[in-house]
Amino acid sequence: MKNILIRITLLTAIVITLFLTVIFGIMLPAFEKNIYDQKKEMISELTNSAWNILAKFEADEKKGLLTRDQAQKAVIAQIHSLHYGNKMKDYFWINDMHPKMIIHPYRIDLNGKDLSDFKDPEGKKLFVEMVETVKKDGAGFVDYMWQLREEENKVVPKISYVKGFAPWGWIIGTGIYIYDVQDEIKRIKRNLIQISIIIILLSTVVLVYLMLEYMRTELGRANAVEALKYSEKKYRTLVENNNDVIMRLDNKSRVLYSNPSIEKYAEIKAESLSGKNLKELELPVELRQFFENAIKKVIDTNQKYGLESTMPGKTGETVFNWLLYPEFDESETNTHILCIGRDITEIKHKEKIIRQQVKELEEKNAELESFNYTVSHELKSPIITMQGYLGLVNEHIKQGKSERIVSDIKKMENAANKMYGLLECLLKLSRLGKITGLFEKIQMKELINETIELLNSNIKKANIKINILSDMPEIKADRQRIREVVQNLIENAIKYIGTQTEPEIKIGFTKEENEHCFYIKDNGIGIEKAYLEKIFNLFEKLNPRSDGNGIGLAVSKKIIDYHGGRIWAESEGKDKGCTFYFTIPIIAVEKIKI
Amino acid sequence: MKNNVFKVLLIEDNIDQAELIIECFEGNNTPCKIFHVVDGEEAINYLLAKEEFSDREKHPLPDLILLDLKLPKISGIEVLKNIKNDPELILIPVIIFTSSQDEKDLELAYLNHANSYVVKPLGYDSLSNFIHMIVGYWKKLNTTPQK
Repeated sequence: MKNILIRITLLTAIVITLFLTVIFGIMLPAFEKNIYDQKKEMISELTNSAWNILAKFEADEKKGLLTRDQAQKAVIAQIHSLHYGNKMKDYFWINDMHPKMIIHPYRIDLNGKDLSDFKDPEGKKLFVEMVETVKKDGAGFVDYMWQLREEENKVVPKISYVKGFAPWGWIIGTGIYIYDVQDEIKRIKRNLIQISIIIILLSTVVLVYLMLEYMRTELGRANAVEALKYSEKKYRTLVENNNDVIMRLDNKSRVLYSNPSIEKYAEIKAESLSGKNLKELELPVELRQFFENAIKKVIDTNQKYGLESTMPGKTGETVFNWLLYPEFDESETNTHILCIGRDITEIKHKEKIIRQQVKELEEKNAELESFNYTVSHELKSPIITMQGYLGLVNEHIKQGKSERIVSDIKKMENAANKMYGLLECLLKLSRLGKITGLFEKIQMKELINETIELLNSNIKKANIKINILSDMPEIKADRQRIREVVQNLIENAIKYIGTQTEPEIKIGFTKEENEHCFYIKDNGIGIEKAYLEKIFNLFEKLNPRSDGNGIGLAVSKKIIDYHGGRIWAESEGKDKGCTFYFTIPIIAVEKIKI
Repeated sequence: MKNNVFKVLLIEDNIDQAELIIECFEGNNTPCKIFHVVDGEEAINYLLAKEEFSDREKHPLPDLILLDLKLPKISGIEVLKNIKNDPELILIPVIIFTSSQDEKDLELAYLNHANSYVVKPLGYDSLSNFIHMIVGYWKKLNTTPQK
């Protein structure tokens, strides 16, 4: 700032100097010369006028109106009294070519005297020089020293114009005093100096005012800059320590700034991005397209735009929530784009878990609701039966139909047994959800053989041929539960074998990519395709006359679900046999239980 | 028609209960004939005279249907829909006869144009009484269009 002040002062000094130089160095001398020239012009003109007086009287002489002597005397009288100037003290004189003085209004002592040896104080033979000038050019200027008008004692420089009057051999002249001119010039100079001083003073006042004004705004600006710097630092700290990725791009997709957060996700230095176009960055194609589309959208709509993207990063797949804001200049043109990317991988992950859990909960709830409904219906049913037959017993007693009473009581007993069976099953089901049997290695061959052994009497009774694949795998599962499933499926196969002449049950497995798929295949009564899924529902019985309680397959399904496997049945239809499949993952998974 | 035998199709999977209901019908003074099927599939086959029920002489269309909701194979509501979507069967009154008091079941039954909804009564006397009322109402009091 001081620098600028010094510069301004210097500049002003130069301007003032120049001003003074021009005024006093160029204009004033030119003016002075001009004044001299004007004065010289004036005296030459005046001399010419006076000369005409001589010419007039000479013309009268020639016409014979006057004698030469009369004419010359008249001229002398006229010139003697011819004065001009401010105080009418400037005069003409006449001498002849000798030179001899004819008439001089102030030096009467010289009239009629020979001037050949007359010298001014500097030794100049001025009248001789006048004669020579006239002889040479007819007229001309001569400078010398002479007394100031009538003042005899004051000798000053003078310049005169002399002109010859040939008919009489006379020379007429008049002069100006350099002293007068200089006096005038001095006066003008004084005026000029006064004006200059006023101008300089005024300029200085204006300059000081301007400088003060400048200093004030400059000080204000300095303060504003300081405040701006502080504010900038504050926001920079905010941006640089922000967890979000913050980038600023121009509308040509060039990165102007990126905060260091980007270094967490990509092998790049934030500073190295500056000035680079998106195209120059080593980004995966989809990612670049994603950004280009988003930027285009913001530029096209002039509105903020938000979207999610999944991108590969240092730490694996990262989900970002991007928000792009347009920035406008004063003319409302979109010049820059601010990109803020928030890492929402964790949130997304949690969201997914929550959604899954909610879904599982909803499923559980629905299952529970349906379970309650089914259970209440199933439990009511035997009671209704019992109540009915209880009344019937009374009726039969009243009617004396004692033979019916036994069968009525039998029905009641059946209903009570059924009720007991149902409660047993419910208990089992409820335990299924609670007990976490430890997973252990199971030789399936062994487990199946044990089960067959257990059901041997039923198998023998129905005369069923059992065919087990010789090579069975080892699995990792809850032994007791898997055994329950196998037993249930084999029991079902025996129960629904029908009136087959060559009843057979085949047990085997296939090894799939991630799981073992076991099957129990019979050639019994089969299942119509429409009911293949329904049979796994709780209390679902296809045949109301069979003695099952519709719970075996529901339990089996639960157990297999729990092991992360699937269970299903296939059948070509009635009397076409049936195959039950279930899978157990090769790598055991224990499902999270709610 | 009113003097003819009153034919009822009983759709009930609990065989013991069905026997009890049949007993009640037979103990009633009005001549009734009960045809009993045990699941939804049999019920539809009966009404459409399919498979083992193809003989209409032996298995005539009933004057009234007693329909349990919880049935094996095809549910009571599905059977009801089948009946009410069939121009030949739609006129037969259907009484939903179930142990369920569930509001949803009730609503669903009426939405599918059940003619009546009765919760199974407890005890022989009330059952007998109920059957008596049904026969009294649907055979004697109520008039249904003649086919």
